[in-house]
Amino acid sequence: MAREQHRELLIYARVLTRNEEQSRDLVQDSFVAAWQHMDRFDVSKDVGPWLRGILRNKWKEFLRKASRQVALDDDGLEALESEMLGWQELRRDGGPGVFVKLEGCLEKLPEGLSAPVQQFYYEEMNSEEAAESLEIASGTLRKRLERARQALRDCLAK
Amino acid sequence: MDKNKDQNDRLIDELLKEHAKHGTGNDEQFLKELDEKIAQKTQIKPMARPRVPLGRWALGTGLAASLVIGTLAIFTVTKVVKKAPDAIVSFSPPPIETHPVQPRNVINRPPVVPMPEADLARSEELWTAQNAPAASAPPVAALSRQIKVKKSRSLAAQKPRVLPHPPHHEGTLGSAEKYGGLTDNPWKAPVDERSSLSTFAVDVDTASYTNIRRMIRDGNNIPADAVRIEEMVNYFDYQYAQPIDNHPFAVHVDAGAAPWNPEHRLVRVGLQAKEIVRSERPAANLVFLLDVSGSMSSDNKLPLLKRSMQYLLEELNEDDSVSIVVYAGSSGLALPATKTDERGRKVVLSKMDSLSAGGSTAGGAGIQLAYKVAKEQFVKGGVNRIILATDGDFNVGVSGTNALTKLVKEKAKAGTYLSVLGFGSGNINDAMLESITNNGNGNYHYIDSIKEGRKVLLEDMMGTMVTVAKDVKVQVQMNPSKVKAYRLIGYANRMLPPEAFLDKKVDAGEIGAGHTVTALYEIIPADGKPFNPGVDAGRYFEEVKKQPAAKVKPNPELCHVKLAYKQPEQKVEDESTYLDVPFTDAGASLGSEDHRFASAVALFGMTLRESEYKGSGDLAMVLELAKKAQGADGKGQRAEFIELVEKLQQAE
Repeated sequence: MAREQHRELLIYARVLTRNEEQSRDLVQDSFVAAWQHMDRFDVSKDVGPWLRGILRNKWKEFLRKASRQVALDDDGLEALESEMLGWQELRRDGGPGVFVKLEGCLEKLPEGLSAPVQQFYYEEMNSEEAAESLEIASGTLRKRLERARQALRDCLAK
Repeated sequence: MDKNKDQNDRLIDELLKEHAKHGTGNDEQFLKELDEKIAQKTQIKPMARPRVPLGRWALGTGLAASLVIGTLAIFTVTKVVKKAPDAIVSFSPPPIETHPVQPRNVINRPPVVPMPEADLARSEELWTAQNAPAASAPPVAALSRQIKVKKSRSLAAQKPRVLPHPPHHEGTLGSAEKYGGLTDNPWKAPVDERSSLSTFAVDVDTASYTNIRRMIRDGNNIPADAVRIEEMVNYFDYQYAQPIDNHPFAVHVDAGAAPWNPEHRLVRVGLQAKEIVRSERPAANLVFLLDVSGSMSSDNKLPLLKRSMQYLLEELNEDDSVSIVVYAGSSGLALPATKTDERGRKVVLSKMDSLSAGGSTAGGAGIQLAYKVAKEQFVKGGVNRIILATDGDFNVGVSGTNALTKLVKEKAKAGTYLSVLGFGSGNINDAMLESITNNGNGNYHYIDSIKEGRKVLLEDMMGTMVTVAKDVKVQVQMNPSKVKAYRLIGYANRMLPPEAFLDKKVDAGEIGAGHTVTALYEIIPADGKPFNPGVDAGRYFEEVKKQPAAKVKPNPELCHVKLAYKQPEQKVEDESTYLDVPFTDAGASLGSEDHRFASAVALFGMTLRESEYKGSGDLAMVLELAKKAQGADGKGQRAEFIELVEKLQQAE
């Protein structure tokens, strides 16, 4: 279960927390909790949403303890949930999962969008470096990255 | 942008980042940490799960926690949705007495992350980087044998176990050790110019032996791909004479009957690098690059390294310096370059004490920083070396092993070498660690005990640190009128094409002062008949009735051993120096003591690999050979070897 779910759950946690360390801890704790309370898992449901629910509760609990406001409104959470359910669908019937699909989608990106993605995400340049090497303004780069992400999102949803 | 859209944009952003980090594979570090966490929970609260499905049965029969995870997976599969079996934690219900060590990771290695095209092109162009394929090659079914060994007493004492499941480092989610696919060199008949030549790069690594030693002592399975025979043979000391000419090493060749097939000859090629008198040792600039991720805190990792470092510090003096760079979630300079005088030694040790392990692994930035520090302290004509200590993966971002290999190689050209020390078990990315040091004119050692730490850091490293020759390549030409077919034992991922020998641009292994390198050739003596290749090619070829068929110069020699090397300070474009030793086989049936011991080690390796070439050899023969060739054995290495083989034999 952990093997199958951990990377998607980590991504989810990062969106919520915007912090790498916290995300890892949160996902670790969620798996441990899931494992301890396996008896409460409704076997007629999917495990992904269940894990995300545990993680959400852990996050809210943490925020409460730190007396901070809950950062996410319910609409935002729902939008996230529907997106991630889509990823889960990809694995159904032995499908290849979101990362494999993503690789296919990356190949389909037009040149103008794929170069920024390549430089920014895969060659770990910061946005200034990437913009410079592509000879575009950094604002343009941000816009292109955003468009690339949108295109990838559409492609993943297909 | 509205809020929902923003969330989903961030989601894709994180998805891309995650993909860049781990491709389509797994975050092994994460799984390992989770594994440890769950194991801890199990030990603290063994009865905390009364209502787990099948829980009573699981506890009652003493199965590992992994099974419970597995149980849920199965539960999910059978009762909820149908998912691909390979996407799910797979396991086989272990028999009660054996450890449920799951070979899944060995078999189901995460795919190599995609790399930038530039890297691809480069790795193809660098065909000398023949180890990169070894690191990324699809795994061969690795576990060919089940070894059931009871825990050694010392080990059991170290790790009190509350529940009857394996110690957590072995992994309830399975061991994540990775080994590149490894093949045996096949028989080759010297029928023409090319096929008479056997060319390889030397290897002074010894990690494979210590790694296997650990697996046998722990009672683990030994994946065939973890067995690199040349590294096992090279672990032991052999009495080769020192060079008497101006070359930095001497070459010795001898032969005896192959014990596992007495009609075959076993030719041993031994290289002995010259010893360097202590006072002549050049100044050292050592940068330790330490993995301080959470998993490194166990006794057999950072603390062991620290104790081993004490030996090294005793050897260093005020001309030398030590720096420490750490990496985990982030990387940083823990100790700026410190002269190792009386005070400096204490500073280094107290720094080691204050390092605490925590966080996840991100080695890419760490290694950059280490090279930067090394460059600042660069000692011209001295020893400039980065010593990387880790227990697992070296997380280097998208371009993975290839980009790292490239970096290490470039730096080696500029005079800074890399040594890798592997620690612990469960997550060792053996193939990658070996591959980066192969290409980086460095070396890779596996440290499992204080004794080994001393050997590596003091004896090997101080030897290694004074490189006496680099790009050392060996080419052996077999005489077709004496040799029907031949086979180099081990070195499978070190083979070079014949042209590489004369090509000065091709880099190869380095040899440190006092090191020995041993290679064994098994030879089928010529009998006038051709070697049967076992293939059907008769449509276009006349049947060969005798061998050698080609015109061959009459010569009594069995083979001709040639070496190419460069002085440590020479550059890529500089010409190599060559030396050669012809060898005529006197036909002695019994080789020297050292020869026989080396053959015992090689046979042990072949037996572990279940090699098709092991002939009549088995563990009993290994033991008999080793016992009769134990010799003086000053360091007790051979006695330990015998003990190890006996342990394995009893377990079978």
